[in-house]
Amino acid sequence: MLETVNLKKVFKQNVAADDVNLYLDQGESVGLLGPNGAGKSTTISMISTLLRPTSGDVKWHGKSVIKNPNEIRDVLGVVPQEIALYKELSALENLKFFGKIYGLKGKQLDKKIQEVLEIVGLTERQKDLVKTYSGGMKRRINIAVALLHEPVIIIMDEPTVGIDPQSRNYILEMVRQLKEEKGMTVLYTSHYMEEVERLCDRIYIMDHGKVIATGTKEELTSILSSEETIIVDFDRPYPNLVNKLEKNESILQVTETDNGIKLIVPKGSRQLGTIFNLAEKEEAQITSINVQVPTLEDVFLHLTGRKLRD
Amino acid sequence: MWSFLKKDILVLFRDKTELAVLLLMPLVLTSILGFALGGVMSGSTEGISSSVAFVQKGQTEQDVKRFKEEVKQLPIPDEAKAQISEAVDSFQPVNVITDVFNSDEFNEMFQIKSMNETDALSALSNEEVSAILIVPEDFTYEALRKMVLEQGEGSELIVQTGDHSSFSASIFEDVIEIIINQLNLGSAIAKETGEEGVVPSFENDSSELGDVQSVTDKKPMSPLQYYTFAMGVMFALYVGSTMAHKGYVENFQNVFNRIILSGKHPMMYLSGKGISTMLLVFIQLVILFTISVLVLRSFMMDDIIEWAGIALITFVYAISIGSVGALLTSITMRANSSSITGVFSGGIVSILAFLGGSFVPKTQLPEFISVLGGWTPNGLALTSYLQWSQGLGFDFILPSLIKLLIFTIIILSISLMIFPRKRVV
Repeated sequence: MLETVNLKKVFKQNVAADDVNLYLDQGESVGLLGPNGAGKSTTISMISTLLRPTSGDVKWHGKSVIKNPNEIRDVLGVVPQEIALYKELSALENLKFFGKIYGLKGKQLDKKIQEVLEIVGLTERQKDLVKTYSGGMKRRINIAVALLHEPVIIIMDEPTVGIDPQSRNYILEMVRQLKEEKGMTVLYTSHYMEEVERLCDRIYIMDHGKVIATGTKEELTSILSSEETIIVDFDRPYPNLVNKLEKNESILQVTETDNGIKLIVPKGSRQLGTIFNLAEKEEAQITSINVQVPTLEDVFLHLTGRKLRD
Repeated sequence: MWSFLKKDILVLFRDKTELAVLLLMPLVLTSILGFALGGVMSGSTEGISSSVAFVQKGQTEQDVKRFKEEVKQLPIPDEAKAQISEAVDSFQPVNVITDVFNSDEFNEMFQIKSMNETDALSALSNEEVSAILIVPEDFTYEALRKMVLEQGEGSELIVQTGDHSSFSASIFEDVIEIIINQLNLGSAIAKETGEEGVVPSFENDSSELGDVQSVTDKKPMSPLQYYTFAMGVMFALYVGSTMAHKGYVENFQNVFNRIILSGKHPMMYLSGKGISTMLLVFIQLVILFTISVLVLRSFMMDDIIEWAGIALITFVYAISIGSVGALLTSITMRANSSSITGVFSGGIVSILAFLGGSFVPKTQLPEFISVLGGWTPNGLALTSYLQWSQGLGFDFILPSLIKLLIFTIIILSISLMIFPRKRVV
């Protein structure tokens, strides 16, 4: 339905997006995962016709949207990372303004406004000025505006940044309902692995402007299927112990965490004994130990050597 | 388009700080300047009551005699010579001036003191008089030669004002200028109509003879009235920068992108900004003038024609500031920076206001500044307001209004060229 073909954007000499190829099928939810500065926002700006690519193309049902931007604009709802609203106006006034510029009017506009207000759970507060809203409410009305013209595809650029866990859950549940109950196609960007894991059928992992991995969650984690993750927490940091573990050739990766270390080791290599022995020699007190199957975070770490939030 | 206008008006009217700057500040400044400078440039005829020196260097009778002698030598029929001689007896240029000086209305404003040039200059430097009118030697002779025979270079009346000269001196200069216009025009009409001579009068409405302005039509203006217009045109400029700044915020917060994604052409957005600015300037000035009339009692509300003219000037000025708003929006969007609106509101508005006469009347400024001010939109609007309010007709304000419209077209064209249409796909 929607695909990008070798999409590239160069700002002066910086490559923000480099040969990005991705596609979305009708009704599926696709995640674009990557740390800040990975090129996610640049990519979705090009897809939503707000930024002209340096090269490559975006195709909607096989037709270039670079040449015919209005074809995709009619069916596209974009939720920007910023609160793209007039804060001096009420939610209702904002929705009326954006509804009208989308060509809605009269009873149809009023009906649609009440519908989206219900979706985002702000019917009761519709007459309040946006500037009086909490961060989570602003995010929700930001989404409501993008839903007004009944888009086929909705692109959400980090819609949960900077809000409390309760509002975040509300938004994630709302996105799930849009996909499952309204059949909307969703392109969701985030640097929160758990959001993408929860919402998306397929995932593109981006770093330094490139798509470095793609697939379902299971496909991506299977990259690390021959490995397992051991998380060990200590009462305090033990730098010597970390050094010794790093020198151990049978341990693939050692990363320091807030409370201890995270190790990636070959599956079934029985490294727990080694870890206990070294800890005893360093007189390190282990407070907990946990063996995990790999997560997307581990996949990202494995592919880039960095954490998602770096 | 109405959606854009409604949105811009709502957004601005809910910004209390901006409202205070755009509505409250000009009213406060009008009150302060209007009342504080009441003594300096009082608009009531009682208040001006300033003294003016009148210096007549030549002898009118001798000039007339000399002119008649010259006519006698002309190779024209005796009948024609007699007619000219008779006409000269009934019309002498200097009498037009003295007639004006003897009129009651003029005497309400000015007290004329006849004196010699030395005494007059001394009186001017001692601030005993606010201006000197000098009728040079051979004035009548040269003027008659030019007017009747179309010979020679004519003559000039000299008005001299001092450094301390106030608003009243400016009015006096205006009066003399109109007398000169009357003389020239009266002479031209006389020739055109074949009459012996038309004596433009200070008190008689001579409009039947053509477009002759009567000095009595030019009503004096109070400082309160002056600063109502002066502050109005100045603070209207701030609407342009305010709207452009709102545009920057819209761009910064991706609201502009949202508008573009709705399929609206970027030019629609720019047009919306221009028209919103225009509408807001019009509303702003209507509010300011209304409060000035109702609260400050600066004007009488009795002449519908006068207010129609003010509404016309306001409308044309609002259009020109609409174009300024569009230009600032274009620059702001292209530069993706709000610094230009800061520079405009923080510095350029003050410069334009100074040049345009919002702080002190242009006539009190050095000539080159006054000329420059005549090309600023606020200067043109202020001149139009003042001329119209002083009773000068539509013909007087038309050139300024045309200049404002030309200014608008130029600024709009530049803003269309600058606006970053290609930023989006």
